[in-house]
Amino acid sequence: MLEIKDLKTNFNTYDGVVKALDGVNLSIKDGEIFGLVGETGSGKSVTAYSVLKLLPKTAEIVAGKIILNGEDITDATEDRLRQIRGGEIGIIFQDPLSALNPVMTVNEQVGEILVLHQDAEINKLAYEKEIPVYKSEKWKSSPGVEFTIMAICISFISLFTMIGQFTFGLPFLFVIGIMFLRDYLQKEVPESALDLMVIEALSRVKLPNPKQIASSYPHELSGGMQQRVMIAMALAGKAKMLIADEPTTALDVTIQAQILQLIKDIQKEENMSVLLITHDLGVVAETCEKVAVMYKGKIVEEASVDQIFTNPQHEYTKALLNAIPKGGKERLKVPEIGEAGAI
Amino acid sequence: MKLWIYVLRRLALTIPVLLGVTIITFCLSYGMGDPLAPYVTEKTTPEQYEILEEKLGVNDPIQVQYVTYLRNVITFDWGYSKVINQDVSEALRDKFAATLELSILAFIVAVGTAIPLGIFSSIRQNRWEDHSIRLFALAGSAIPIFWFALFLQYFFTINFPDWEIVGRRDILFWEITDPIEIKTNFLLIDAIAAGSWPHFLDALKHLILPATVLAYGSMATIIRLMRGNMLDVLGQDYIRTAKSKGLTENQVTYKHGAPNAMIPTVTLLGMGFAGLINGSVLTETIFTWPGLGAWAITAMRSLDVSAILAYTLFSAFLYIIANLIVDILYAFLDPRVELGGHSSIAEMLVVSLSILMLLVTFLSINVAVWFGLLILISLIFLGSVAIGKRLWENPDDLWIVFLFSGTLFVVLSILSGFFMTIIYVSTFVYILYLGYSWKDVKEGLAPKFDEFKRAVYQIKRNPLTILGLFLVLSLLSIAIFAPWLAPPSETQRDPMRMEEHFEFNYNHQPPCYFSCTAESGEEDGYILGSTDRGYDIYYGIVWGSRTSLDVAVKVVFTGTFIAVVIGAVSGYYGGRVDDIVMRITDVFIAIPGLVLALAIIAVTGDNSIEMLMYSLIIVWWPGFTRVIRAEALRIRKLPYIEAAKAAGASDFRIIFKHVLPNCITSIIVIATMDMGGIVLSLAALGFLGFGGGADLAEWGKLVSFGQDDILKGEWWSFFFPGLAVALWALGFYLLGDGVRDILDPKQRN
Amino acid sequence: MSNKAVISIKDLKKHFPVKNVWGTDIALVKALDGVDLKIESGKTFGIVGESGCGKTTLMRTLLRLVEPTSGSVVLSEELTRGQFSCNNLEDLTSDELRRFRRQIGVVFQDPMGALNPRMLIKDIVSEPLVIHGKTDNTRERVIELLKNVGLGEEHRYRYPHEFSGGQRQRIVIARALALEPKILVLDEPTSALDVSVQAQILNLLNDLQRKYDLTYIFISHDLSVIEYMCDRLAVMYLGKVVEEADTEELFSNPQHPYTKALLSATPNFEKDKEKIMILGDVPSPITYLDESEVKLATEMTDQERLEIKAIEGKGIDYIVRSSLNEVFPLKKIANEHYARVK
Repeated sequence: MLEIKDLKTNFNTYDGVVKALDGVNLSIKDGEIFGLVGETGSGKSVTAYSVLKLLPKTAEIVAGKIILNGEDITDATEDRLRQIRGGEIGIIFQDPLSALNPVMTVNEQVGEILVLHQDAEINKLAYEKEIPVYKSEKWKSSPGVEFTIMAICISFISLFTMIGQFTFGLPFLFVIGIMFLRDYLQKEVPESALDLMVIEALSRVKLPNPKQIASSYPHELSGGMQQRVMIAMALAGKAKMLIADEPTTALDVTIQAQILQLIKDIQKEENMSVLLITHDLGVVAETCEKVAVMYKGKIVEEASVDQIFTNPQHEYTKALLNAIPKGGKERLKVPEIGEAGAI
Repeated sequence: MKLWIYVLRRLALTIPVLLGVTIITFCLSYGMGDPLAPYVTEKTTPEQYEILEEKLGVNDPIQVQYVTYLRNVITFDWGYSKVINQDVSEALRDKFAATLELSILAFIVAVGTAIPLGIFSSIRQNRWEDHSIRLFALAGSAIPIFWFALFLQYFFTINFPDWEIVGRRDILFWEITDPIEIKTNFLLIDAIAAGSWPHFLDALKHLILPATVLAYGSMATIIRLMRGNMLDVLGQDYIRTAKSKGLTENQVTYKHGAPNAMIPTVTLLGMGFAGLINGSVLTETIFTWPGLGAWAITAMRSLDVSAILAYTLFSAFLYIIANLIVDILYAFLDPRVELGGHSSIAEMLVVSLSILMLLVTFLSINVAVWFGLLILISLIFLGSVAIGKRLWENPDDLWIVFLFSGTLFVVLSILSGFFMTIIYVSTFVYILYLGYSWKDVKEGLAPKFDEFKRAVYQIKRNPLTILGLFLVLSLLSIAIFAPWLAPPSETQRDPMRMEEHFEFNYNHQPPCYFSCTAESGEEDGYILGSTDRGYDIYYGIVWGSRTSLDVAVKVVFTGTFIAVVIGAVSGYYGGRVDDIVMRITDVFIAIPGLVLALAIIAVTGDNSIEMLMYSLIIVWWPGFTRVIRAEALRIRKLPYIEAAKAAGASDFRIIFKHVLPNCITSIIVIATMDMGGIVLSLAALGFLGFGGGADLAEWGKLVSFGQDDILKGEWWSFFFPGLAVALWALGFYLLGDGVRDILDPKQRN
Repeated sequence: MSNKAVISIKDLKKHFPVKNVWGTDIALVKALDGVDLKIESGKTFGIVGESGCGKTTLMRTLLRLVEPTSGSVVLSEELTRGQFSCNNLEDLTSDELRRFRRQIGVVFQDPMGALNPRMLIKDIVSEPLVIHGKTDNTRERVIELLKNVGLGEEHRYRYPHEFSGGQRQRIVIARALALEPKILVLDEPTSALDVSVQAQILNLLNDLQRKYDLTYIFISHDLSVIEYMCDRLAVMYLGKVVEEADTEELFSNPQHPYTKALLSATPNFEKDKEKIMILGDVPSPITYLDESEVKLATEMTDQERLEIKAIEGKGIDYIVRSSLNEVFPLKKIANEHYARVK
C-alpha cells in the first residue's frame, strides 16, 4: 500500500537545521494495521505529515521516496496531492477539539470532504431520490449576514428615535419583523443528498442521533464524539488508508478503548490499512499487527507485535520496554540521565 | 431563544452605563462657567436675571439640578446653543446626517479595503508585500489626521484648483441653479431620490477627500488587527485538518481561516468607530464640513456649555450603541460564546435601579431626587460595610488601601515634578543593592547576557525595528540637545515661548535649509521657514520636541502606574471588585477620547499644558487598565499561581512577584506605543488651539498656524511640524512592535 | 498492619451550584459526593479516575485551595505536632493554615505551567522558604534541594524555558520538598512526560520517599503507573469512591464494574486479560434540582444501544454507563477491600 524509502526531512529553525527524519524506511501492506512508536522528537508525526505534505513552511523533504500503491508521489503535483488527501489517505489528529473548526457545524465540515471526493455519488443520490444536491432550499443565510441586517435596522431605528424622527425607522422595523416570521413561514423542505451522506458517514462511526450531531458545533460534543466525527470525516472520502496520529492521547482511558475498538472494527469492515502513531506501547500491543520503533529520526527496529515484546533486539527498544511500569516496586531500569532537550 | 435573552440582557446593561455618562457630563457642567450665558445679553434687567435663575434652577441644591438635567436629557430638551443660535436638539438633527454620511462612507471604505489587505498580508508573511502593507498600515496610524487632511487640501489646491476642498456641496448649484429637495439630509440619498446624477456627483466629489482622511486612520488599525488574527488562526490545528482533507490553499485560507480571524476583529470594530468620531472632529474642522464635530469645536472655543455637553453625551451614546451592536454580533458569529451565564444579583440590581431612576425622573423630579439620594446613600453604605467586613476578616488585605494611597502619592509626585527626585533616589538605592549582593549578581549575569544577545539578534533581523530605534533616539537627542541645536536669544526668558524668540520677525519666509545666508530672525535666515507671525519653524520644532517628551513621559508613566495597580488588582481578585472597576472603565471609554479631553479642558476653562496632561491621563487610563486586567485574569488561572497559594503565599506576594512580572511584556509594549499615541493626541489638541498659550512651542500649534497659508501655496508652515509629529509616532510604534517581537516567547524557536 | 492514618477524610462533599439567567440555582455539580479515605503514613496512596470523577477537586480540598461544602479532613498528631488548636483542617485559623501548608507539598501535572517563566530557578525553589521566613542558609539549601532531584548547582541561574519537561518536573519536586513536608500530593506528575523520562521521575520519587519517609498521595488516570507506585488505592467515579483496596488485591480481584472496565481499558500486552468495555460517554457530575429532570437516569441511552449493537458477537463484555449511576453503599469484600456493589 504505502512504501517509504530512506526519507529525510529537515526543519530550518532559529538554532540551525534540525534533521527530523534521517533516513526512514517503512512498508505498510494493504489491510494491515501498522504501529509507529516513539517518544517526543523521534519524528513519528513528521513521517505522517511528510507523506501528505502537511509540513509547515520551515520544513522540507530533502531526500527519499514515497510510493503509494506503486505510484511515486514524492514529487507529486499539488493537484495530485489534493486528490490523495482525503481521497486515498485519511488522517486524524491528536486533539479533536482543536482539530475541528470551531465556527463550522459538523455537517459543513464532513460535507466538505464529501464534496471534494465523492461528488459523483452525491449527484447520483440526488438524482435517484429527486432531492436537491447540496443545500436544501430552506433559506439559511449565514449568521453574519442575518445579524448585520438586524443590527443595521436596530441602529437606524434607535438613531432616528434619538433625533425625534421615528417615522423614518418604520421600514427597518418591518424588515426585522419579516426576519422573525421567516422561520415560521418556511415549510418542511427535504434534505439534500449531501446532508444524507453526511448522516450516513456519522452513523458509520456509531454515533447515535447523527442528525443532531450534524447540526452541532464541535465544542458542544464530548471528546469521544469529537474523535468519532474526525474519523468519520477522514474516511468520508472512501480513503483506503487511515493515518491516526496519537488519536487517543487526549482522551480518557475508557473512551480510548472505545475509539481503538472502533478503528479496529472499521479496518476490518473496509479492509483498510492503518498507520497508528503513538508513544504508548500498550496501545500498539492491543491494536497492531506490526510495529516499528523510531528514535531520533530513524527506525531502529521493526517486527511483528509478538516479536517486539517477547524478543526485542535494539537497545532503545529494550530501554523503552524496561521503562514501562509494572506491578511490584522494582526499580525501573532506565539510565539516570539523558532526555531530549535537557541541559 | 437563548440568543434573544442574551441580546436583551446586553441591551439592559447599557442603561446603567448611559446613566453613568450623564453623571459625568453633569459633573462637567456643574463645574462650568455661567449657565445663564446663552440667554443673557447686556440689556437683561436684574429682575429678568432673577426669573432666569429661578427657571434654570441655578440656586437649587446639586441633586435637584442633576435630576432636572437628567429629565431634560430624557425628554430631549438639551438646551440652547448660542454659537449657532439654535435649540440643541434641532441642531443635532441637522448636523447629525452630515457627520453620519461621512462616517459611514469612511467606515465602509476602511473596512472594505483593510480586511482584504490584512488577510493578504498574512498570507505573504515576511515577504515584500507583507512589509509594504505593514509599513502602509503603520504610517496610517502614525500620520496625524489633521496633517494628512491639510496635505490633501494643499495637493488638490495646487493641482486641481477647480476641485472644491471645503463644504458638502456647491451651494450655488444646489440651492439656486438646480435646486432639489433635501429630505433626509443625506445628500447622496437625496440625489438618488431626485434622480439627479450631477447632484450625486457633486456630493460625492465633496465627500471623497474627508472620507479618505477619516478612513485612512481606521484602515491602519484594522489591517494590523486582521493580519495579527489571521496569523494566529493559520497556526491552529484545524487549518492543518482542512488541508488534510484535500482543500486548496485558497479554500483553506478563506473558508476556514478568515471567518475565525474575523471574530476578534469584529469586536474591535466598535473601537474603530470611536476613532471615527474622534477623527471627524478634526476632519470636519479642516474641510468645513457642517457636521457635529465642527459645531463641537466652535462650541468649545466659545465655551458654549449646552452644546459641549450635548455633543459629549451624544457621541457617548453613539459609541455605546456601536459597541452594543458589536457585542451582539460577536454572539452571532462565534458559536462558542456562552449565552447562558447568569446575571449576578449586583448586575440585576444596578440595571433595575437605573431603569427605575429613569422612569421616576420622567414622572416627577422631586420623587426622583429622593430616590436618587436614597440609592447613592445605600450604595455608599453597603460599599463601606462590605469593605469594612472584608478588612475585619482579613486584616492582611489592608495593604490594598496602602497600595492605592501609595499610587495616589506617586501620581501626584510625577505630575508635580517631584518625579525626577524619585527616579534619582530609586536609582541610587538600586545601585547600593547591586553592590551589596554583587556575588549573586555576577552569577546571574550569564543567562541575562544570553537573553541580551538573543534580543540583539532579533533586532538585527528586523529592519523596521532598527528604523524605529533610530527615529526615537534621534528625536530624544533633539529634545535633550535643544539649547545647542536652536539657541534661545539672549533676551528670552522662557525658551518655550516662540513670541519672545526675536525682536523683529519676518513672516511667511520660505525655508532656506542648508543655504541660509543670514541669522535666524532676519530675512532669508529661517532654516525651515517662518509662519504667518514670523515664528521660526525650525526653532519651534526643536523646542517642541521637549514639550512632546515632557507630556508623553508624564502621561505615560502616570497612566501606566494607575493601569497596572488597578488592572492587576481587579483582574486578580475578580468578582465584585472586578465588576465595579469594569463598569467604571466602561463609562470612561464610552466617551471618545479626544472629545472627552476637549470637554474637560473647555469646561474647566484652564487652557494650560498641565490641564491638558490631566485630561489626557483621564482619557488614556481606562484602555490600558483593561489590557492589564485581561492579562491578570489570564495569568491567575495558571498552575504556578496555584502552586504559590499552596505554599502559603499571600495575595500581595502573588500579585507582585508572579502576576505583574508576567504582564511586563504587555506593559512595556503598550507604554512604548502610547508614547507615540499621546503625542498624536497632544498635537491634535494643540492644532485645535488647546494646551498652553498661543505661542508655546508645540508641534500641533505650529501646524495650525500654517492652515491658512495653504491657499497661498505656502506649504512649509504645516508640513514640517506635522512631519515631526508623524516621525515621532512612527518611531515609537515601530519600536513598540519590535519590542513585542523580541519579548514574545513564541518567537523563541 | 495499619500505621496510624496521617490524614483521615470523612464524608467530604463539594458541590458547585449552577445558576440560570435569573441567578437562581438550577443544578448542582457534585464534584465530591461523600468521600471517606484514610491515608497511611509513609506509604503511597493512589487515587484513580477519569475526567469529572472529582480527583482534582479532592486534591484542592485537601490543600484547602477550595473550601468543602461539608465533611472534614482530620490531621494526625504527627502533622499537627501539638501546634494547632484542633485537628480539623477546616477549623484552623488562617495563621495556622499557613503553618500547616509547610507540611504538604504539591507537584502538578503540567511542568511548563507550574513554574513562573519569569523567575530564576533559585528563586522558584527558595520561594516557600522565603514565604515562611526560613531564610538562613538559603543558598546552601537550594543547592541541596537541586542535588536531591538530580540537578546541578549551575542550574540555579536559569529560566524554566531552558529546561526539558523532565527537568522541569524535577524542579517542581525540589520546590515541593523545600520545607521538608511530611506529605506530598502529586497530581498526574508524569502524564505529560515521555515513557523513559517518566521512569526516571518515578525512580526519583521512590528514592525520595525512602530517604525522607514521605507520605505520597498519587493521583493519576494511568493504571500501570498507579500499580507500580502505590501501596493502596481508591477508584473514583462521579465524586464517590467506588472501590478501595491494597494494590495487589485490587488488581487481582476487582469487584466494581467500573474498576473492571478501567483495568480492561488500560492498554498493555497481556493478551489474555478480561475484555470489558464501557459504553457511552464519560458523564458529568451534574444533578438537576428539578426532580422531573433527573439526568442521571439508569435507563440506557441511544448512544449506548448503538454501541452495544456494534460489539455484539465480538466476545467483548460490556458495561453500560447508565447502569453505573445507581449507587450502592460500600460493602466490605475482603480485609481492607471495599466496593460499592450490590
